[in-house]
Amino acid sequence: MGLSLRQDESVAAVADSVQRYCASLPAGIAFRELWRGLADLGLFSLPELFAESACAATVAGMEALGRRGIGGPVADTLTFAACAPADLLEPVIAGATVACLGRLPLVPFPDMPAIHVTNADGKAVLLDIASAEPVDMLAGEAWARVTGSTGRDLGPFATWADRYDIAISGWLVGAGLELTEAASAHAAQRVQFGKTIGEFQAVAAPLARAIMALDSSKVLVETAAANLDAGDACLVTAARWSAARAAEQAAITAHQTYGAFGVLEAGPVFGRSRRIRQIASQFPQERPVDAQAALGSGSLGILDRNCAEAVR
Amino acid sequence: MNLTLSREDANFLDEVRQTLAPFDDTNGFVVSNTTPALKAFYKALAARNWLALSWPVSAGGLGRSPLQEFLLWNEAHFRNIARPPQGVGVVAKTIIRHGTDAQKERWLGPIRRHEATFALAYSEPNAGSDLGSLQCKAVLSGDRYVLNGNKCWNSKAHTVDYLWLLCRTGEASAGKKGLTLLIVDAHAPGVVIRPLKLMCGNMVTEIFFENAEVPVTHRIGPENGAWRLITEALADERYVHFTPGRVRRDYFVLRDWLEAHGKLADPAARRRFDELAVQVLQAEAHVLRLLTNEGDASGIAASNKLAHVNTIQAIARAAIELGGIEAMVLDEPTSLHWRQTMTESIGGGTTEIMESIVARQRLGLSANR
Repeated sequence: MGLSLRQDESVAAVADSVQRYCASLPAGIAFRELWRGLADLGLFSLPELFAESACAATVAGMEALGRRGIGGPVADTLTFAACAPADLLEPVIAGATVACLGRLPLVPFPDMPAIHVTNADGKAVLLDIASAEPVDMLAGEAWARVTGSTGRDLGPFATWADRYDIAISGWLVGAGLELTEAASAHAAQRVQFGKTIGEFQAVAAPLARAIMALDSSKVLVETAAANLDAGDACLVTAARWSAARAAEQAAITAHQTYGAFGVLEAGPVFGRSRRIRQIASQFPQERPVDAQAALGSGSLGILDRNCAEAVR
Repeated sequence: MNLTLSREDANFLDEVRQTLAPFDDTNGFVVSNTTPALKAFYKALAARNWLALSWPVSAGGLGRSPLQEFLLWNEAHFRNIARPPQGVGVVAKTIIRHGTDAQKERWLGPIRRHEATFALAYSEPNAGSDLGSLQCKAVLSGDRYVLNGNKCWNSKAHTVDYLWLLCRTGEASAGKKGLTLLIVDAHAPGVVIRPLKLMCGNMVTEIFFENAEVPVTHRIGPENGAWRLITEALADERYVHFTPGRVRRDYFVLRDWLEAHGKLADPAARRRFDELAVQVLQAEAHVLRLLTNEGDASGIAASNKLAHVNTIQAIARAAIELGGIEAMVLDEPTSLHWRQTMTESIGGGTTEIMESIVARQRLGLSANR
């Protein structure tokens, strides 16, 4: 079998299912209903159903959600489903409870039952919340400023962070791709000075740079996910860094391409760009890129790593 | 998704590494170089028939995959050895597709043995990116074309045996439909080649033709039919000229220099340089897109070139900015990389043209002004 970037059929089917579900959603659907639908779809069972390709399936599902702009603590919940002990999973997988990762005092705080996890000295631990004051956040989602105490030890936090980072990277790539493709479609039909604005290099070139960054980030994120499924986290921090920057670049370019339409609060960009901006540096906070682990030391990175597998 | 090299490809990569190791730092890549070491490198590849690695077996090649060709030249770039000679790619592959049997017999053997070397002669002072407007004129007279005009910005033309010349045989109004490919003896009467020194020390040339004569048998493809041939040939080069191996080499060289000078001790500086590693990986990601693409890859090839150039320029800028005054010493790698990488966004297709190709192929936008 030759080199291929094409996803396995079962992984691609996850993206298709999520896309179909998102397309069927009525406008203004309540969060609880949305969440239950995602659970019924089997989204929160992905870590269990796709044991050996769970990260790849997660990225595929999250990219589809990012394309539709579906927010909420989905990455948190998928991470919980992958990393938490079995006795805590049932209500989360069923969509009755949302899992939220956060760092005190600001944490996601959706309007439904939630289980909170935080990082305490390198350990993932349950967070028992004592008080919560709702806070309006840039991303436009339900968060709160909370007090509380840490509880049960759920294992090394780095494992949770790897899973979270790979999931959120998929969302960022999807959101960025959607914004850039939509902005390009706008540029292809919006006429100024007697031409479509996409005919001007000053408009087309930033869009080209944005899509290039996203296309390579997508490869990097999907490769990092495949490696993580094989037990190697070497590319995860690089993938998240890449996806965050590419999505931010896409958002800025989309704002500018749409002109005044692009800076309307209810316009075609802000709903997605506000979340990209927040997520790009959101908890568990962007970790420094582990350049040594990501790059290796030879003439190739991605292929060298897999070359060694083949020879062995 | 499969990014695992087959056993055959992995073994080939091992063989490449063993074969290339004696030629490390031949330096035929960054500066204009005609040293015996560079010639010995090409001869060593010729001895294994690796200059014809991906040519069809029927044309004297080994019929290997684009992936193996990529693995070979990526390794050569990482080891600071050389780029492929221009004859083995664009020239030979065009002859294989469009040459007559006599032309294949005449040219392919000497090219794969590295006995006949070529430089491309496309650009002119007033036709750089816009090749359809070039003016260098060839007029058929009996069994010979008579050439008049000039070319510019041609890499290594002063070091080679032959020029792969794009010239006008039709009317100027015909634009790109009036162009023809000729093989011109670089040492023929009426051909004058002058080197021009670039800011990095590398050489390009300007070439003057004054009633230079070229046998009609040296025309490749139909008269006025060159445009399709040269655009087709661009795809032949996409794997081998802008490889991530060179990008990684730049990153490691400059990281080692910064560490040796104590410039990465500051965590903020370290973090900034570490983040550039992501761009290095993105450059490799674009090559993987190319190597796995089955359709029209011109947009991906342009993305690959852009990612390559943007990254080596970003590394060079960071090294200068983090390196302080020591980085400005003219023969330090920091200074040389900055000077050299500035030329890369011009040669091989300018950044502006590449971005327009990405906008058109990937996003359906026709940027034209």
